[in-house]
Amino acid sequence: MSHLPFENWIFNRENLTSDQIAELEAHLKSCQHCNRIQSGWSEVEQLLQKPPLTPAPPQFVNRFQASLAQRKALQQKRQIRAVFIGLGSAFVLLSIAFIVRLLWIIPPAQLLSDMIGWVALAPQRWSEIQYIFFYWAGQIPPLALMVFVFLLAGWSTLLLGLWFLTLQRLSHLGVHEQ
Amino acid sequence: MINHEMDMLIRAQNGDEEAFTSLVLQYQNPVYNLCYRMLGNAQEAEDAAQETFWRAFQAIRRYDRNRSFATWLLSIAAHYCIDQQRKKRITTMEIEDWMEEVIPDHTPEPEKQVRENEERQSIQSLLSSLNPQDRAAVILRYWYECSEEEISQALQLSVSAVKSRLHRARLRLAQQYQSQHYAMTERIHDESPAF
Repeated sequence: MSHLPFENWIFNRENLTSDQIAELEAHLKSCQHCNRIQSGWSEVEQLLQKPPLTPAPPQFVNRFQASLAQRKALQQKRQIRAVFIGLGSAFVLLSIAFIVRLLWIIPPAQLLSDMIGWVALAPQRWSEIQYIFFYWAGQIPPLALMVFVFLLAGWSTLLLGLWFLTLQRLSHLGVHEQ
Repeated sequence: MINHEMDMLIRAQNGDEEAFTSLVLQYQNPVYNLCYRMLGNAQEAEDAAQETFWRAFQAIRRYDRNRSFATWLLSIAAHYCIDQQRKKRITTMEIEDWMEEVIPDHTPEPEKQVRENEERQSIQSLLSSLNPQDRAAVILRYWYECSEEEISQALQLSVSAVKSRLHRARLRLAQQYQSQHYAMTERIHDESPAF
């Protein structure tokens, strides 16, 4: 026996016409399957008429606030770690690329001897640089030197500040999805 | 939407945590109830509700103010609970398989325990017979009086899919109720003294 459309009608009685209700009632008298569904649904429907709303446990909001602070701190820490790992990886990769390129141009033996020579001459080079610096510093008027130092310090501070600000903004990106 | 709530939403979208907390205060009960009905366990429900609000906090800037905030929140909660149910089902199946292999069943009078649970949790046990998405559709329909359109938005389904899920769920609930009722009647008959 076909149970359609009667199965649908059982669950949508409020939308049926009087003829359809009469047809459904007649079918229910002869069909045990639909009759069982009808009686089961009427019981379930009563249970679902005013289902109880289970309230949240006490202090739910306080626990949310505490967990929010923890989760934010954890996510910011992860974000900072990710930024530093990214920057570090980029630096390592660039260094490897630079070394490979260098070895490609200069034979390794010559590169090694150049490096040893450079290290051996480093103290001499340093004293030469110091000599040049102090020579030119003596030539420049003191006021101009002070302005130069002030400008250099100012720009360095500004760039460092911008760098920290960028890192901080990057660390907050994970907390609020854009 | 009430002006005060809209004001709180705008402030929360601009990063005001206090405003977001007041939204948590306002919606804690509906969100917790949905999680409880979906998961059937108080501790898991609280964890799920907390996770729902954390996800909402992270995504609040993407919330479209033309939509109902309650439906948006319930949608996050329903999706999270559906995922949890799927994961739990896989884990439970793995543990049950393992226990069948290594641990013999020593449960005393399991029928008695089942009967006690049946008496205490009639709605919850009926709900648990449904698959997670059908259960979410029934909870949204009967606990929150959501229309089929709202359920379709919350569960990201078409309206016809929601209708079909609700029909299937109602049929399943009716059959489940009948079979529980029939089983209980049988047991009462079996245990009654012979005349």
